[in-house]
Amino acid sequence: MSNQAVFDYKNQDGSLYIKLSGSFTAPHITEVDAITRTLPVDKIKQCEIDFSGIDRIDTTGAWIIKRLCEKLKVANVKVSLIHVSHHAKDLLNLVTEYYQKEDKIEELNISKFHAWLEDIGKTTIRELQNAGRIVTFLGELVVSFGFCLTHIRRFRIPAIFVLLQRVGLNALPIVGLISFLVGVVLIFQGDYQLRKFGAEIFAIDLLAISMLREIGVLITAIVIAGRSGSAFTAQIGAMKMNQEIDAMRVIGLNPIEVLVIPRTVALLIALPLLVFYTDIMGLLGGAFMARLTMDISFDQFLNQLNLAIGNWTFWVGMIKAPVFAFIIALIGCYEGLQVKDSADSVGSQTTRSVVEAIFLVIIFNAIFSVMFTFMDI
Amino acid sequence: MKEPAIIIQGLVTKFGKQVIHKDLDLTVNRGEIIGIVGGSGSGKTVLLNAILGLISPFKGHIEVLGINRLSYNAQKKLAHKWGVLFQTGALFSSMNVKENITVPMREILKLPEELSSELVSIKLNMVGLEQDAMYKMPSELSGGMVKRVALARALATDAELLFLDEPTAGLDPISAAAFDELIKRLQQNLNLTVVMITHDLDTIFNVCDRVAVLINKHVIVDKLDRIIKNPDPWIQEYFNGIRGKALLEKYYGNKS
Repeated sequence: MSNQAVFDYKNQDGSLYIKLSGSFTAPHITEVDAITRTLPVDKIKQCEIDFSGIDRIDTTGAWIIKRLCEKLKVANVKVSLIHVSHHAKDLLNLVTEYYQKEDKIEELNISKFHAWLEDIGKTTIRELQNAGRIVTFLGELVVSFGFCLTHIRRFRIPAIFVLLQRVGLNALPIVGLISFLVGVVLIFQGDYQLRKFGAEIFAIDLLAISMLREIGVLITAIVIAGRSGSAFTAQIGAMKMNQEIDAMRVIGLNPIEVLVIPRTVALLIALPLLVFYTDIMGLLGGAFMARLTMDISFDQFLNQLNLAIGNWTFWVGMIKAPVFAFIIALIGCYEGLQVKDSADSVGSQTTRSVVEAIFLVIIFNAIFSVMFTFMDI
Repeated sequence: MKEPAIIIQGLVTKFGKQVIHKDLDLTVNRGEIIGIVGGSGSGKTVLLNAILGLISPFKGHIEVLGINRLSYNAQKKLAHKWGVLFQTGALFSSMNVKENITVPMREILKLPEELSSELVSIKLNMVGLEQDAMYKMPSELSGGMVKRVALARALATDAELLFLDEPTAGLDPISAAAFDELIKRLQQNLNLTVVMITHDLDTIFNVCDRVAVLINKHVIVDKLDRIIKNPDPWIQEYFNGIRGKALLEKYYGNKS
C-alpha cells in the first residue's frame, strides 16, 4: 500500500522516455508533483510515457500526468502514452473533461494608503448605516411596546419571569461578590491616602458617594452587559441562523413582541433591583474593611454614612439603572437579529453586542454626569 | 473482489433506554456501492456515525478496512482512507469554498499548495460548480450548492471509502442524475467502496449494487432484485409504492 509513486526518465537525443511506477495516488504523489513541475521540456521532440509500472492511480495522479502532457504539448513535443490501463485512460479523460483553465483573477494594484483610505470610508459608512438601523429598531421596539401596553395580554408574562430569574436572580452571587470587593478596595485605598491628612474618616464619604452615584450602577451594567447582553445576542442569533425567526414571521408572530420585549422588560425590572443590591453589598464591603483596618464600628460607619449622603446621592445612581438596562437589552437583541447564517457571525455579533453595550453605557453615564452637574445634584 | 471493507458484528446502539440497533450484522465488500434505506428514525445516520466513530456503540465489533474501530489511533489511521458527506453538508463556516475543499488535502495528505489548488478546481467542476463559487463563503451558498461543495470535500483525498448521507437530497433531478453518473464512474475507476444513505429511488436503482434495509433494529441486505421480493410489508410499500412501481417496470420490465 505504501509504495511511493516513482517517476524515472531518460533523455536521449531529444526523445524522452518516462517510466511511471508505484502508487499514483494522492498520499504518495508529492515528489512526483515537484519533479514534473520542474522537468525541462525544451529541446525535446518526442516523449513516451510508460504506464506499465503503475499499480494504482486516482484522480490526483491522473491530473499530474495530464498536466505534464499539456506542458509537453505546449512545447511542441509529440506525446505518446503506452501500456495505459482502462482505468487510467478513463481517469485521464475525467480530469481532462473537468479541468478548465482557471481565469486569472486580476489583482487590483492599489497602494496601501489608498486601501487604508478606502477602508476608513467603508467602515464609516457601515457604522453610520448600523446606527441608522439601531434607531429604526428602537422605533420598532417602542411601537411594539406601546401596542403591548394597550393590549396587556400581549406581554408574555411566563417568559418574563423565566428571564427575570436568568438575568436577575442568577446574577446575584457574581454581582454581589464583585461589588463587595470594590467596597473593600475603596475603603482600603481611601484610608491609606487620606490618612496622610488625618482625614481617613472621609474614606467613608468617598465610598458612599462614589459607590451610590457612579460605581454601583456602572459595575452592575457592565457585568450584566457581559452576562446577559451577550446571552441575548447568542440566543437570538442562533434562532436567526436556524430560521426560527423566519418561521415566526410566517406564522404571524412578531419577533420583537415575542423575543425582544420580554427581554427588555425583564432587564428593566432586574437591573434597578440589582443596582440596589450592588450598592448595599459595596457598602457592606466598605463597612467590613473599615472595621478591620480603621477600627470603625458598624454604628460609627452608619453615622458617617448618614452625614455623607445627601437627598439625591442614592437616586442619582438609581435613575441611571433603567436607562442602562434598556441600552443593554436593545443592543443585545438588535445584534442578535443582525446575525447572518453562519456560526462565525454569531460569534462576531456577540462580541459587537458586548462592546457596543458597554461603550454606550459609559457614554450615557458621562451624559448623566454632566446633566446632574447642571441640575446641581 | 469479495474482500470486506467494513465488517459489523453484533452491533447494539442505545440512547438511554431506547435501543436503536440490536445485534446488527453487516458486511460491505470492497468496490461495491451499498445503499442504506429505512424509515425515518430507523437509525440510518446512527449506523453511519457508529462506523465513523462519532458515537461509541453499546456493544459489538466494527472493523473498517481491516482496522478495528476500537483500536488505538483508529481515527487517525482511517482519516485519509475515507471521505464523508454529511447530511447537512457540515462545511466549515469560517472558510470559503476553496479552503473547505483544501482542508483534507492540506491536513491529511500534506499536498503542496499549487497542486491542491489545481485539484480544487477539478473537483469543483466534477460536482458541477462554477469556478467563481470558489471564493464564496458557505453562508452565501444555496442548499444544493452546499451539498456539492461538501461532496467535493469528501472526494478531495480520493479516499477509497466514501460515506454519503443523503447525497442527492436537495438537488434537482438533472444534477442528481449527473451525480449518480459521477459516483458510478469514480467507483469503477478508483475501485471505490461507497456507503450511501439515500431515499432517492432513482439512485438506488441506478447506482447501488446492494441495498441494506434497516427494519426493526436489524438490517436486511441483498441485491435489489431480491430485496424487492422480500415479503416484509415496509419493503413492499417502499419499492412497490407508486414511485417504486414505475422504476421497477423501467429496470426489470413488468415481471413484478
